[in-house]
Amino acid sequence: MHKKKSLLFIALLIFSFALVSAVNADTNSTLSAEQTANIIENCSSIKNTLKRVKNSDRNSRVSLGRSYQTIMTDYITPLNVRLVKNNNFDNNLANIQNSFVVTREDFNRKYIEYGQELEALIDIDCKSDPNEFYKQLETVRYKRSQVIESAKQLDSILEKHVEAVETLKESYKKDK
Amino acid sequence: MVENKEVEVVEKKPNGSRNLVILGVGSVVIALVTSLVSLYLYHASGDIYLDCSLPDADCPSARANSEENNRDQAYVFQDTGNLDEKVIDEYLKEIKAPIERSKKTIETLDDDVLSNESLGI
Repeated sequence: MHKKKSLLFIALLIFSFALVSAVNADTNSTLSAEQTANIIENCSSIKNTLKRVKNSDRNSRVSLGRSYQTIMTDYITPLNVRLVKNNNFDNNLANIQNSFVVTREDFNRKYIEYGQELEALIDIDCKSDPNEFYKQLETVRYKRSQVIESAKQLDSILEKHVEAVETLKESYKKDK
Repeated sequence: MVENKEVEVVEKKPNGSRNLVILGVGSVVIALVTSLVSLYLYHASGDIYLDCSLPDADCPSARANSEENNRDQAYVFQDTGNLDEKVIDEYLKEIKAPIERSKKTIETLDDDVLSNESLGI
């Protein structure tokens, strides 16, 4: 009985090992021999491009951060405060402000994650470890796409804010 | 007995050079620990990815004469006063500029910049 159990356990172990190996092999197979050769050959130029992307993304992030800060502190917050002071609290505008704050924090967090992954990618020696480099590159692509998605979400929240303010304007027109 | 007392007096003398070494080593250790903590916070907070003062960084938006920093033209909506159609109209007109600026910046975040073709892979 014990022997059977042991055999079953060993068989399960071998199966798990084979499965993990197959998954690893599949991950490595995303990079063809030609691509591997390209990474090794163009390693320094790829690194230079990555450094340029890092610099340009930093610039975009700083610029976006400033714009969002201006929009929040010079426009959205004072408008909502003024509405409250005028006893005309607008629930929709307050909700939009909250979602802007939350999404902005999410954007900041995602950019930090992207920055960390990009830094790790630049640190990998693509000549000696092209597979690891490519795996990390895919992670960086995903993290960067999340940053862009988050920025687009903020953009659509701002569009909603403008629409809500236009509706508010219409309500003042009717009250006239 | 007298000899023993003399020995004790000699032992109680402060060891200046030893204390100086302890002070020096202690100062270095404290400086190292605080520097490491600062560096950790600099990384963990993400400030390193926004630092425009780094040698390889070039952030036009952080320059004093940049559009974002031009406070002469800056409009700040006041949180006091009455609200009417005219005020809201002005608000809508003014908020357009920073929104357009952020839209343009998002457009510069090209999706394709890390593709295999762009990197030559």
